[in-house]
Amino acid sequence: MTVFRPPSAALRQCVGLAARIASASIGGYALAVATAFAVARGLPISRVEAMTTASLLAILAMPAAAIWSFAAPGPRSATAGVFGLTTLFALAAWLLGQPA
Amino acid sequence: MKRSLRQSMSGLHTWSGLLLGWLLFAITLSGTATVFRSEISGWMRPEVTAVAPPAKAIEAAVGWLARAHPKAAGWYLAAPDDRLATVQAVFDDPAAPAGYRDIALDPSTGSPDAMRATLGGEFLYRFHFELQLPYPWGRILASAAAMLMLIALISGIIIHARIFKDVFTLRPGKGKRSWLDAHNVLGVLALPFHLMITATGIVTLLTLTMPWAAMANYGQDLARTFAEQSPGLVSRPAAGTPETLAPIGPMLAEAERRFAGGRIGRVSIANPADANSVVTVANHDGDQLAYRQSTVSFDGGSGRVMGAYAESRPAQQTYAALYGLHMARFAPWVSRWLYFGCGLALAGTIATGLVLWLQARQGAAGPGHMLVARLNIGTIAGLPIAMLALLWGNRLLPFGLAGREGAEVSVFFWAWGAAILFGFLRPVRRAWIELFWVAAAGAALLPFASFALTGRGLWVAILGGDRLFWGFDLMLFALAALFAAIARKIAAHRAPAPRRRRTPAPA
Amino acid sequence: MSAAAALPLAFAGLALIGLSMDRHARQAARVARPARQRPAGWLLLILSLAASLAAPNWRFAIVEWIGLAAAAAGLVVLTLYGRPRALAPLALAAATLGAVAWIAALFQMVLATHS
Repeated sequence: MTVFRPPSAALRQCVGLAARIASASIGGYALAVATAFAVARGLPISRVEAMTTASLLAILAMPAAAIWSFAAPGPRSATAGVFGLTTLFALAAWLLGQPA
Repeated sequence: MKRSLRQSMSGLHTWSGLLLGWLLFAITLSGTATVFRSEISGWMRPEVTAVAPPAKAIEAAVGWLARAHPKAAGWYLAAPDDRLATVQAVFDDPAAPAGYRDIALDPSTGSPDAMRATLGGEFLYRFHFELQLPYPWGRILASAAAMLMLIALISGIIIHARIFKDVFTLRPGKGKRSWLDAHNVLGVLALPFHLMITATGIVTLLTLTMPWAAMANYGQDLARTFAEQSPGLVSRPAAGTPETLAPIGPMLAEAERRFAGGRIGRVSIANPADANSVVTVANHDGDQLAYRQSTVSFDGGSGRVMGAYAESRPAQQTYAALYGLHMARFAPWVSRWLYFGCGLALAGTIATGLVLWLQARQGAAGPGHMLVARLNIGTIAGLPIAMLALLWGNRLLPFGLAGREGAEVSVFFWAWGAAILFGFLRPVRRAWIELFWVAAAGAALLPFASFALTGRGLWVAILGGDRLFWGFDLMLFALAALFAAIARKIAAHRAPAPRRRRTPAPA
Repeated sequence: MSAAAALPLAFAGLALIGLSMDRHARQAARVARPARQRPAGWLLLILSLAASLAAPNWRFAIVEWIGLAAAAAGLVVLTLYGRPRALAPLALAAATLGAVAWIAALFQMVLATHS
């Protein structure tokens, strides 16, 4: 008598891990890009100063995304957190528009 | 699956460290050697014994360039200083394979002809962030590796939360526990350095990896970006009419006067044979923490000052300071040796981490385990051997060999490849011991071979006050002793019998 | 030279902090008295930093001090590893050396301004 096994916990674990890795790497870089855009446009200082500040701050986005991607309770909250924040920053950057 | 923060960070730490661990070891070790890149360059050009003040050396260099490469679009010179006697010159040359040349010039004659063709310490410097890969891939890979290291450091701190409890603990003879102690001690004691050097390393490649802030504020207008970033830059297109360059001595003197105690660092001459030539003198990167500070620009034909600039904007200065912290050009000798020591500690942290991964999985014998074990040997023992091979090649390759610079680099990579292969072919423990003995022998014999071939070094250097050479000899003997000690320690240590495991080892 | 004072003072301070921990006190064949040893250790570390900052360029000085403190910590680890019982006497010697170096530097400064 064969026992039918549903898509196993092992497969779900695999997908979950892949999601976390994607969130940390691709999501992390995306967050860095969005952070750079938002901060460069959002800071109320001269264009060139804001640009340099934004680039430096964006460095912190990747480790933050990586830590969250793996510390988060589940792969869904991991990816939601990173990609959600990225979207938020991207939206802010888009709304702010390129400085004159 | 519920996991504690410590467990999840442990997984992140292991993988971010393991994925590019060997590359990170190579980057770290070559970076540590680069702390003394000037000294390495000096040792690799033993023919150069002349010393000249920076201004005189630049004058000599300009003299030679005007005779040998008058039609170049630009001459970019780095002045000598108390650690490096030669002038480094970069200029476009259609005859060169890469389209440009990057060579050292004698400080008294301004000519490169009397010295052997070698990249010197510049090779290790470039390898450190370009990894011998074509632009931009090497730099991107190096930057990615640095980011993984930053993540490994931060996750490591989170795991080792009670960080000060074990800060002095080093218990020998306890197998995995001892390796963990070593990994922790090396990682924690110089932790501010490790964090700083990794983060600032990312900063140095930021214009390549993070061009987005510029794009956000300037769109595609690169010219505007550049102009606002470097407002002091004086640049004008060539006029098309020839004009000889005014004597550079007075220009350098004027620049030195304006630097108020600073030294001449870089001299760039745009369109030297043209009426619209521009000479820009920058002060020495090491005069202050921030990398690159003040410039003075002159009209090349007349020597008249066209502009002067000293950066004062806070974000630009912060960026320059972070860049400067990584380059350590500012470092006086105590700090320089501390950078070197901390760099070795970081390399040791990575190496012990790679060994620890194996120790924690003693019973396993899968392909992953084998790969890690073998690559560890070829990298941790192999890279020092490769660096020594570079130095040996510098002494042994014939003076007039065509493509000599590339040949030295090839020696480096062949030696490294041989070590990696050796690590795959010999039994693991024997490979470690034998390779470290090879390294010890390579280091111990080099001062003698070098002396025989160049006449500089050993007692002649001590008697003649040739500090570069006797210092280098001393360093080589110290390294030989270190490698021999490691080889003996491994030989004396009997590995504990692998314990049978009931459950499969973690991946 | 500020490093001549800063390094021994940092070593003494870190050694004292190490000795205030039970495990290392046992290694060094001494009794841990954290209530007194730890503040004293931190004080010596601060004095070490102050000695470094006496140098003309404070930015370079801070970078150097961080490296010196790491080197001093490494020396404490090595002492505990190789000659643990020598840690306490070495700490005392280092503190004395650091104090002498500092006084010598002060002397030199006073002489320089008066000449």
